[in-house]
Amino acid sequence: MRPILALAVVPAIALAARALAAQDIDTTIAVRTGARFELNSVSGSVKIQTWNRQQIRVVAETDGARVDLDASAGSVTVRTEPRRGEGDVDFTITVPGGTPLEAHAISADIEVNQVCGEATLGSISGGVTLRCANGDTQIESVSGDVEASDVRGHLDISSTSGDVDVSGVHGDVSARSVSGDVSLERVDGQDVRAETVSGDVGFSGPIHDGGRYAFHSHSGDLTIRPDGDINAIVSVSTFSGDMESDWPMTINPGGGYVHPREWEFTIGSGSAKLSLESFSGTIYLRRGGASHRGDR
Amino acid sequence: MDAHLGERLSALVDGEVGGAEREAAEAHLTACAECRAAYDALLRIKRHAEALDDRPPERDLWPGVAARLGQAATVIPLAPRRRRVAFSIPQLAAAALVLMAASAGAVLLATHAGHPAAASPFASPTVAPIAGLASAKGVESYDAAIRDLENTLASRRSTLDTGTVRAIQQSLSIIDGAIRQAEAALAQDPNSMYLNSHLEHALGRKLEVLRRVTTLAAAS
Repeated sequence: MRPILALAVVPAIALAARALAAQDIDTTIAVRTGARFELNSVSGSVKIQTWNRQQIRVVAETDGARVDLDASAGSVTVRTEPRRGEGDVDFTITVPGGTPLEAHAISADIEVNQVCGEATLGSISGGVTLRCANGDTQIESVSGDVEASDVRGHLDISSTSGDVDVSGVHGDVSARSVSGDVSLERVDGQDVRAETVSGDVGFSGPIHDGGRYAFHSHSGDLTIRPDGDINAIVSVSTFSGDMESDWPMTINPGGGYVHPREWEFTIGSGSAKLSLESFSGTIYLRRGGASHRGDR
Repeated sequence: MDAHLGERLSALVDGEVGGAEREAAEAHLTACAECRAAYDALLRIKRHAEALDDRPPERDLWPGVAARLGQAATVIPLAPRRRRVAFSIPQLAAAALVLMAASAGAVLLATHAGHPAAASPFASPTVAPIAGLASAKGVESYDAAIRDLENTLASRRSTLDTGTVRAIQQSLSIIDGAIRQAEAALAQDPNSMYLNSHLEHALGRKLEVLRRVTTLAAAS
């Protein structure tokens, strides 16, 4: 047996399926490379960070809720069980860099810093913040704000009533809200989609040849700031909104759909598809890349 | 003027007409506003369809459907083939209806049956049938699925805190407002492809939110 596995197995057996008493917890588990970490929390807070050890440290400050912990060399799972109506637990988790994470909470805020692995994070009424991920990343909240930055890989991020803030992504992005704003800054992907119903949508990043980009709002504004030159067929749809473009909106003779509220125009070779829809908001297509919120 | 292009429009959009026949068709399009409008609409739909993802279903619904039909859950795989988009306006309208009904049906199958009939706090006014592609049958299918999910969510609202319930209600109210505005706009312009797809999208968005929140409420 390799030393790292020997280190892992002993504490894993000791802690497997162990229900920890309702008290503050501080325990460290040796794990093998690539081990997963999973957390199911009710309320309180969740902070996940990284260190240079092949160990996972679980610190839990609980107000009476029980914390169950299952551990093996390949995974560590932590679960909160409310007792007598008490469910608040403040977790501080430290994991090796690149650890795949899955964390769910009912009303706890979740914050993940510099772990830089795959991540699936969800909180019903709490906010979710992720800084650094590699691989598939999913973030979801119902009523909290969600934020992701420095992501390499596919990102699926949504909030029902909160804002969605995304920055610094190399990969495809799907971002959704209902009443919140959706902001995508420095997003470099081939397939980028953002939609909200009553919020605004912002995007900055390259429009790649052959890529597909779709930005939709019902009553909010769209502010799209492509980086550099673009080659795209731009489809615009609105009902009572307006459109301002830094590029000439020249309708191709004999081609392209033309309607008082729906039209297409081509920029450059038209290799990419850029769909812009706002029922009653204003659509801004601006040169110049990154912008600040509210900057038209 | 020559006779209208009719079914040849679909072949024209698909690039299956060449040579003199294409030249004649294009000449006709320059002179015939009716055919030109239909051609543009078909072209736009084709581009939308081509832009859709070829996503596999999240789960195989056929075994459940087959069980209800009393059939063996056997599906004969078809050889893969290239997506081809070819249809006429009536076909498009029919396809839109079938798609909406199927989508709503799939949601119903994917959610729970047997819900309380009590009025739901998440309930919204029924969307009135409208003209155009998003017609009465399709909207009713959405309504049925939405009502079902609203009742399911109402039965599980106790698992959510009041702030979350309020946020969900506000979000659903915003979507309902968007649906009503799209509906009113469609009354003005029933043939607008954008407004039809916008209404369908808003209904689908509401279904998605209800389905997701219901799932989360059940898991909490």
